[in-house]
Amino acid sequence: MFEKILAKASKLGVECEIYYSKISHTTSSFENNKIDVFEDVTDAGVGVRVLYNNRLGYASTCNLAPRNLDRLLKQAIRLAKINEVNPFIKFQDKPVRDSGLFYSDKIAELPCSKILEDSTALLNQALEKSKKLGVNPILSGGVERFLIETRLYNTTGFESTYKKSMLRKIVYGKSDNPPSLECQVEDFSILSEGRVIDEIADEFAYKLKSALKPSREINLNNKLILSPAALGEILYHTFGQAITGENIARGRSFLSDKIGSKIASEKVFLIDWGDSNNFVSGRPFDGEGTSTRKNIIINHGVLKQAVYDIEWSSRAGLESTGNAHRSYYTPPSIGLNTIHIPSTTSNNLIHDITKGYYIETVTGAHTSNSVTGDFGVVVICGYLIINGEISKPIYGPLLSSSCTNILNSIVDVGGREEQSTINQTAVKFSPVMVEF
Amino acid sequence: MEDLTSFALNQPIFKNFDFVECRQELIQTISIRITEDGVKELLFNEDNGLSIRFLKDGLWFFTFITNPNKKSLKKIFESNFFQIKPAYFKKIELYDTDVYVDNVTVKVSKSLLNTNIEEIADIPLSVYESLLDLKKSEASFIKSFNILFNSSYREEFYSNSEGSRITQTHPFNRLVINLTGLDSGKRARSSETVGGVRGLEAFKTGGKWDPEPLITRSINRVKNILAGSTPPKGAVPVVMDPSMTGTLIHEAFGHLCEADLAAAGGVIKPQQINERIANENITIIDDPLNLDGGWIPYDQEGVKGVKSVLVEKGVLKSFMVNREYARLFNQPPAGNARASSYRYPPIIRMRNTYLKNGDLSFEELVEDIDKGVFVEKFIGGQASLLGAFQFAAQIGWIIEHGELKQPVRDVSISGSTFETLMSIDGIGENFDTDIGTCGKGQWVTVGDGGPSVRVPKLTVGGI
Repeated sequence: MFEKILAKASKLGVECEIYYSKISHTTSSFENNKIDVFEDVTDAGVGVRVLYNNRLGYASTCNLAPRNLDRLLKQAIRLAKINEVNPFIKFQDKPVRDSGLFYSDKIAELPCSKILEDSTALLNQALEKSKKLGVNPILSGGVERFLIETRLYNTTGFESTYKKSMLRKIVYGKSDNPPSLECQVEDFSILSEGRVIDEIADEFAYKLKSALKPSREINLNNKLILSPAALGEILYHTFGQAITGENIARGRSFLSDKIGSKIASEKVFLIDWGDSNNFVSGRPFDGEGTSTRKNIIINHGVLKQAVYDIEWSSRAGLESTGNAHRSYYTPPSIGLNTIHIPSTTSNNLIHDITKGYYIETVTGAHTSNSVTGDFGVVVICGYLIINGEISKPIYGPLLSSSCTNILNSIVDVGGREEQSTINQTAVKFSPVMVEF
Repeated sequence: MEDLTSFALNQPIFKNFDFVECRQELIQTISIRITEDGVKELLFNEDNGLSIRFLKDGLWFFTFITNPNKKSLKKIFESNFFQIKPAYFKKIELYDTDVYVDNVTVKVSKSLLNTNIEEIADIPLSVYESLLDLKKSEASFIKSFNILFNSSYREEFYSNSEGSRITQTHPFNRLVINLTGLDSGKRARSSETVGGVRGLEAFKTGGKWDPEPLITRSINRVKNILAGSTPPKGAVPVVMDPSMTGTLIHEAFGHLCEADLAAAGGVIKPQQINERIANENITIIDDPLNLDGGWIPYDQEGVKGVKSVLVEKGVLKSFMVNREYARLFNQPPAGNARASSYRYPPIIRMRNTYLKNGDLSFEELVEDIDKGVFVEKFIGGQASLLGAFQFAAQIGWIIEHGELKQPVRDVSISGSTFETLMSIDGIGENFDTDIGTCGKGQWVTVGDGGPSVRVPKLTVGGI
């Protein structure tokens, strides 16, 4: 269907790229202790980028009728004609083979009714197990499946496709009487059906029991353990924005002149790992068709590189690092594929703390200043640690610092790895101990 | 666009379902992004789809198709999705509402439909030229900028099995100016947004959204932030501008008044209706009709939007509900069931939420403060269901002996929602609202605002 558009573009003397994506999403969600809605939707569409004398135009649609695609091409050319010359934008010419590492027939073939059944089981088991521990929670969550197909073509002859599957199970909620903090357990899987419902429900009930009768704290002390979710939020909204080649080149980043400099404690490695199916964001190529790869961003505390798409790598005289994110209706923009910090110890970090806090979730990280790296977040779920053990649940203190300060204060990384996602970035690492 | 919602509703498959509704939308959008290097993105998007939501055996089902036609709709009705039989759920009852047959169109002089792309692009390009000139002259501290401009036009058809048939047609335009400044190693940023359901003529000189005052304000703010010092830390008297007041009302209070979140264990309980939750000077409104914010004459359940009084003189008067929660909370729905597009089922959302203004001048608000902080222009923040909040302001000002003194940068405030609403001891006569987007799994346009207010004690910190 797309060959004709590419041929037409060539005939009109324009370079053209077609990005097609189809996402099938089946989800059964529960809210306030009842199965709320069952959804089964498919969203497919194309984004057409054209280069007319080095001027870029972009148009997108979900109407894939040949006549409409023709109209779309004309619209993109019309926009390109009034755009400015940008010699740095090029289309990828090295195709990437789909390794099949990101797709499981097992997930794809799960019947819709099984997703509804699993979601119901997750709700019922989490309720039951919590009640057995003496807690009456109000729960939300669900089970959802994504099946993604991406195809990219352009007039250089480039043609690459991949398929990806993903299953997510999540339960979150709190107890009203006695009051508790809000707890959450989430599981992602790309190749298998992931953790069993029973295990997720068990973990949730245990967490909720530990979060009963929280007290409000005003201040934190200088010894903290940050959960992957909490530190991931902070890093995504500060470091994740500052590390893009565009923001570095445009001086919109506190990392602008820091490549090659020490910006974190020696124990810190930070890895952007786009081609690994260990991460929920893994895929064989990025939104421009560049093959994804393992990028070591921080090595022993030293900032080694930024992340790039084709345009900004070309401006910097480098190669794209495979970090272009997009959908069919948005053009490529640069983002981290993963935030992964390898563990430095196999020990449970809590045991080493006489008095400190475990920060499980924070709010307000999206208000961080990505230009300066400063942030201020409120702890919404945390625990006081006394003599190497969780003592009581707490909430409320403000944690304000800067990204570089927190990276420089990391003492150890260890314990069970947890994964979450923020937009198209996967966050996966073990709890992190910081000492200010 | 041909209205296919009635065709979809009349399919035999829906004959025995408890309730069915269809929404069909066509949204056309031109987006332009310009940086200090010139035009970076020029995009056109056409989005056309139809969603079906239905109640069957106590469970909501939702699906959509893009680019619908009669053939593709018939095909979707043959899928397994419509055959699933959930046998074990409790019946859901909806609040009875009026049946509406209506056509609402916002008439404007210029929109995406009757204006050529060059003329539309001129709006952000004129901002670009002004900023470049300033960057080369008196505002050399401006390091970079992003100008984002969206112009869209939306047609929406709604039909349900109770007989409602509603058409809503309107433009939507928005201009965002983000500046980054750099001086002596210090960085600063500023963000300004205007937009809503008005025509492109609103961006003309002297128009409602004239970009020039916006540019001047942004440049001055960056200059002041660069000159600013670190804010004091601790509990001090705080005066908020309308933007920060709006954030307090929307983020810290409004979400707690959404019935689904209240039922999920929020700190405001359904049984608190008619109880005092704020001091007697506090009245909070959620209004569906603001051309410069959330404009929703009918929501995505076909309910006509009416103004809700959430708090009247400090007393909780209502929650925001959809038809399902209206039944559970026993209060009529006011049009708060919103979906960001046909891709999403409607959920309970705010529209334009604001604090009613008082009678104090700004001078009167600050005159009794020996040492405090004035926080101006929200840049981000969030609040928890437990009633704790943290908001960042783009800039702050030290108040000393009743007067504004030097600026402070990266200032944030945090506290307890109810302690704050109880303790506000001064409400300004001024009033303004901001347009924004609110995320709750899906993004919708909202407005929030109010007057300037004074809080005797609030935790101030640097970020």
